[in-house]
Amino acid sequence: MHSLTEQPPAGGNVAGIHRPDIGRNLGNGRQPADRPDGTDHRDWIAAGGGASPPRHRANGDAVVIDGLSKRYGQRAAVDNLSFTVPAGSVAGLIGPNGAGKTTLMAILLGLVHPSAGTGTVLGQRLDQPARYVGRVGGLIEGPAFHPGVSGIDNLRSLAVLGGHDQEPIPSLIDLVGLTGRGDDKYSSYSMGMKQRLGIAAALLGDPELVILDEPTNGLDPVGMQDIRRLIGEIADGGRTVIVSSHLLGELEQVCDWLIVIDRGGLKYLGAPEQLAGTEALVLRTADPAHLPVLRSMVASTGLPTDITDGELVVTLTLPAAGDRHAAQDGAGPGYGDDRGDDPVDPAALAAEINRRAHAAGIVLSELHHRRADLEARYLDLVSRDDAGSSSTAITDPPSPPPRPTTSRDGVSP
Amino acid sequence: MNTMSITRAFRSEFLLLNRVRMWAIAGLTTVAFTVAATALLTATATPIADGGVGDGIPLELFSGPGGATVAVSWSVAFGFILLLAAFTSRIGNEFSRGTFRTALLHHHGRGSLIGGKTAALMAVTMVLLVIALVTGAATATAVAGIEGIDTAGWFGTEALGDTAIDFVRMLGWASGFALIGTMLAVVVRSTPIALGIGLLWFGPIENIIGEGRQFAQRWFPGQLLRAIVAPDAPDVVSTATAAITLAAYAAVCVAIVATVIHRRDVTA
Repeated sequence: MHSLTEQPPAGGNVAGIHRPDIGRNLGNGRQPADRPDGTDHRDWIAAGGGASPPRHRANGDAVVIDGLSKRYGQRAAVDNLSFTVPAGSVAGLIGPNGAGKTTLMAILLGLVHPSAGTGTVLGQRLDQPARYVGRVGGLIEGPAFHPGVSGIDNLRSLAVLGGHDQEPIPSLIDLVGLTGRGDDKYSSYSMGMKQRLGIAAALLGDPELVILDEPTNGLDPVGMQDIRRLIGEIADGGRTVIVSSHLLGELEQVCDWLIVIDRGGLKYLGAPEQLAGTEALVLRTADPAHLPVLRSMVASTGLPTDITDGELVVTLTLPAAGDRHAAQDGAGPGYGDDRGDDPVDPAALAAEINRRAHAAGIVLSELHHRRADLEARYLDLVSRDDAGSSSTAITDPPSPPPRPTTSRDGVSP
Repeated sequence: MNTMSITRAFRSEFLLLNRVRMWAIAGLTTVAFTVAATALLTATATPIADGGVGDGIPLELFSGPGGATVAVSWSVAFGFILLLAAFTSRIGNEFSRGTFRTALLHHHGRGSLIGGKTAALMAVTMVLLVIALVTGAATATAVAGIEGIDTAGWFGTEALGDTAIDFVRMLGWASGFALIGTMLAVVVRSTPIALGIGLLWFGPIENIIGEGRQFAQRWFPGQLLRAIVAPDAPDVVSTATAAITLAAYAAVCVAIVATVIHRRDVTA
């Protein structure tokens, strides 16, 4: 809580408000080694694995799922799921252990037959995985390779199996940070190295869609950061990435699209920021009668305001989708106008409100910045049924999500 | 299932198998087993007139073309344990380690994947059978010299033909156990359980239940495979009868593998 005398952090931008290019710049300062030929392996991956221009384009929906279910006896591992993953997005699939994440991914990868439902992956029918599996890379239920064989030879074997080009294998080894260890036996690898090799295998054949099931499992913080960076680099090539985790913080940092499931059911679909809820400045005046005056003062900024429980709440986050789309169409003023995603600087706004209130003779007794709390919202979603409520976050099938590059709207209760 | 898919699966698996360590272990095991078994069978060969020695080879079979490799083809029948273990463990481990799942992410044809893997293992088996034949012939020649067995005609053109026939018989025998081992591994998806079932059936059950019973020789797969690889052994059906029955069994095995592999979810 910030009092009027507290100084906001220098620089002003607050995490959760100013998040440019989410999931794209996740570097930790460690850069993978360059290739011997002088080209950076990131150039390779950005170029789609060869000398030709990138062929992956964010166009249409990579995954469309409608009413998907998978039952094991009486238990539904996946229960009537419907969602869409836009092409080119980094979609996070999150849910507690046993939520159905792995089963869902296994269905997408053609390993598990759904009990009901339809869908498409890369435009091909879900029940005909042979038609799309060659364009999808996957790591599911952890890495699994032949222990007595080197990492490179494991990749070669998979490349031969899939009819993929073997030439990029050294680049892939470099990309995932296994430089110098590719010729070592897989059995000598640490857990983190095995995960990296699994990701390298998923990238064989230059897939358009990459599905990674808990790729940071068992990794230390540095390893987790490396994997996040890697996912960012994979997505930079224009690929669609679906990555699952039960760690919200992991996905929040890397994804621009969230799919929250619990007990096989969809709980949330949309942008992480939308799930996090509203970010706001909360103000109290020494004299409650001054609140309406203060509100009218603040309203001139165009930001939504509300008075509840003796507090003036100034919402800082994006307005509703409809409003924003209208603004983008030039149909109205507001936060989503031609400033695009320019952030509101809460510190600067607080200072300005304080200055104007002081000039108007209004004494503020409290002014604090209420941050968005993604974790709290997530826990609320996935623990709701535990509390005895039978409600779900989504009562109607969500409409196809807007492109993440132009909209970050969520569907939640 | 198409030829290209199977070829890719074969090449992929052979790339994994074709390692110095694998050849060293498999080759040495084959040589050691063949030398020991051939030497023992050759040294204990007894004329039929003397009643033979248990399951030993009648001395008369060593005479003439094919005598050099007769002990190998007889002894190989006792090597079913090695073959069954090789196929059940290799395929079973694919499931228990999750490498089958990884492979499926790059090659969706489940049937062709199993087919290619089994074929690659059979290719290795073929090489080992050739090693067994050569080693066995050398061992038999050495032991024959010591035991005073006549080796006339062992190394002529006709002998090469007989050796080729022995090789084909051994290949048929190996294919049978390869198919059974693969089927057990695919069905139970566990190396120890698959191997346990295989050893239990082809060891005590076939031998105890089948002991001296005609129906066992006629219908039990282990006995039929023995008839293929050692047609001169006592109490075996004709090669043609065994081949026809085994072909029917093979068709059933393939159908079971194809059905299970296509219908079952890959969750491990």
